[in-house]
Amino acid sequence: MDVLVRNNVKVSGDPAAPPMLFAHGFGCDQNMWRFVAPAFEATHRVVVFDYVGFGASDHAAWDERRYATLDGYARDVLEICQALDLTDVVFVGHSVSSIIGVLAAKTEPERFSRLILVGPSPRYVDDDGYAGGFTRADIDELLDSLESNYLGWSSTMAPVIVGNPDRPELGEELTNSFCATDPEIAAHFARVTFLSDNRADLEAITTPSLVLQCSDDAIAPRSVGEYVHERLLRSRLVYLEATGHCPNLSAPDELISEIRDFL
Amino acid sequence: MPHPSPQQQGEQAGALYEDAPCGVICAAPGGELRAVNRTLLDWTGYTRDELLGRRFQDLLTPGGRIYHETHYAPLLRMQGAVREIALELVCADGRRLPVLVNSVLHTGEDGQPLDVRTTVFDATHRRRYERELLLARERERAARRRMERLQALSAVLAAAVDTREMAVAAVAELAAGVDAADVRLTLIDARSAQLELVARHAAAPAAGDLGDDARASLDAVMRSGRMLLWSAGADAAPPRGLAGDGVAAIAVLALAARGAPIGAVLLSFEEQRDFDDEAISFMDACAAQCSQALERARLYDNQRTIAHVLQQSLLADDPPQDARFAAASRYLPAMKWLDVGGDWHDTFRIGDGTIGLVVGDVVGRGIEAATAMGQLRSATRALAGAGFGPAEVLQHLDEFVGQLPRARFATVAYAELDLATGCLRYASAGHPPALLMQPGGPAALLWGGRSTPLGARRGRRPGAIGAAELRAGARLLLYTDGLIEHGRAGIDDALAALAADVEARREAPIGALLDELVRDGTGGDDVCLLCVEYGPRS
Repeated sequence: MDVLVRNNVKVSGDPAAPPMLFAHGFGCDQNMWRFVAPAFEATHRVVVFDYVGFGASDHAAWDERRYATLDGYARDVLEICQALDLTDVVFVGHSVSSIIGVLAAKTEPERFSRLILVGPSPRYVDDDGYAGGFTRADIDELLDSLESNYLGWSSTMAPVIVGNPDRPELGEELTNSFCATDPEIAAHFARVTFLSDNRADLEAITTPSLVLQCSDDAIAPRSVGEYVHERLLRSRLVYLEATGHCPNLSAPDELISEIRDFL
Repeated sequence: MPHPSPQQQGEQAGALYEDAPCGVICAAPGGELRAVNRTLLDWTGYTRDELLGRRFQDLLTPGGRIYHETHYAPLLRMQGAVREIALELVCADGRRLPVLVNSVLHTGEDGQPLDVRTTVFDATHRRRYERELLLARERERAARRRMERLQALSAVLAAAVDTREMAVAAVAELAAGVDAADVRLTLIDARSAQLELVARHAAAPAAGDLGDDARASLDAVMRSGRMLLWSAGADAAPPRGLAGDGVAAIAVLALAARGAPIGAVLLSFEEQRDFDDEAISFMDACAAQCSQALERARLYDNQRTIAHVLQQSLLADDPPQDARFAAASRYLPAMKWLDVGGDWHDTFRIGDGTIGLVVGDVVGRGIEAATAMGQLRSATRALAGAGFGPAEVLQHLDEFVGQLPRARFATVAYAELDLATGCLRYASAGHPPALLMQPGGPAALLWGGRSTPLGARRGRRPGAIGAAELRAGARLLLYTDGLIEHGRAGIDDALAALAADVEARREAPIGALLDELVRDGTGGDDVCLLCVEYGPRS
């Protein structure tokens, strides 16, 4: 199967410019970058994609074993880089994707020139002397929320959603259809994301990195951002004024300007 | 009825807002609450002052907050509206109120978000119903998984022949089938006559054997023949010695074969368990399957032990001691078979100055092959002792096999060595050729004296015989076909390779030579080797 089809890869911008790869986080798909990625088309070859099982990727390619750890998702990233023959990649990862980017850079460090980590957390659950911000019971509650919120996903609508990434003509019927995900896959990804521990992987990274920390982020609190910055050898930490966990949606201009500044 | 005046309409709208049959919220784009209606205050138990200024997401459970950040907020920003999002509000007294939420993002003319308008519906009953549906679905899935596990278990049990292998498979399937943190299978040990741990499947590394209390409790359940269930929170105290640290529930299954107790399985759970009928019948079915299979394995184990002891006792004789020759032998059972095979070797004295050398191979495995081998071995010795030469010994063995069907098609290499002269006379009934290496010379195959395997033809066996003259230091190697079958292609190449191996180790003592020849282990067949060195080594 063609990786570019499998991961619904979209390439835009200047083909001769250095590549910039935007990776979406838990809860949505490449739509998360719709206010940010276009701003770099003048200076970069911009690549966005959906992880297998999300957005308009090929859901049939989803495999419980391959995606049983974040390394499986890091393989998606590396396979896209290989398929497009990308080098000197500027990787921009949101939320869990920032850690997926770390894992990809750990495996093939030569491929990446910069890592931009938006709201990273190497471990969400509190641990001996480490405050991730959540308890195991909190994560179970999240899984519960996912069960109760099929978000427009149903057996009749699923094929339509999966097959039509832009879905403009579907209108009213598809409220909540952005980011609609097979609930089984979503719950699986949530479990993998929120129960993984990638603290040790940070120290293997020598790629220059930018850690973007939102104010008042319920998912990746300030102390976690600082933890990541301390352990990433060549990293810069920037506090955003944006609140919440999704500055790519709530404060795209600030995000764009910080990324430009770093590059 | 006259139309209400604008003022009356305004009052009605205000009352509708405050006491609407749903909660109404107006919040800043970041979630800070700007206005809430009385219905929401009634439902949640907060005062207006307590809520205004707090953020909408602060009213959610921690898991709900993650959902808000990863789904609700992004969707609202991208679509401008979200509908029917299921969340739980944490009320003033800590109670959780299941709600369904619709929100609209209100933007100014420049597209910038101004506020979020939300209606909140009490979904307590609906959620309860949904949970029941989910539970029913989960139960159905669990039942299907258990059915698959039972099928998997019976496939594994059918394939396994060994008690341990079965026990290991059983504990793994049981643990997965009922989500047990730790499963221990114990069986009555033949020697200690008490329950001993045979297999364990633990989620976390678990150490330690059974304590006396635990053993006594398991023993009691085993003898009662009835499953024992216990969960923390129940009135009864846990059975002694079974509920250690972190154990919130246990199940003990009794194993019995043909009505007699044979063992018990202890399952430990980290969380309290309300054992439903499906879980109980699954455990029952597992216990029944295990009991049957374990009994079968026990019988098989016994039979195998008998065959093994029999074979060892038959092969145990030391070769005769004589300064004029040295002998070494090896017997390697095949890796893939648990049963003994029918290979044998023998070295014995015939009168004063001659020794008889035998390597043979009875078709088949197990007790039957071992007993047939023992009879052939004794018959060979008796015939050789009566003074028949190699050809006649094989002729008489042929007749003997006529009355011993189990030994039919056995192959035998038989040789007599005159210790004074070094004269070797030999015959082979369908057996691979012996290998002779004179001092300083190449290793040669002895192709003389050949005939068919024992009992393979009608009528009297032709008296074929071969002869050779052994010089002092000569080596003679007899072997079964397991040595040359293993991993090699073509019988001629295999024999040539064997000859080369023997030549390459001409300086090694014969014991070391044999060790080298079987160094790579065995393939699909047993290997039996006998090597004799004639005369004092120069």
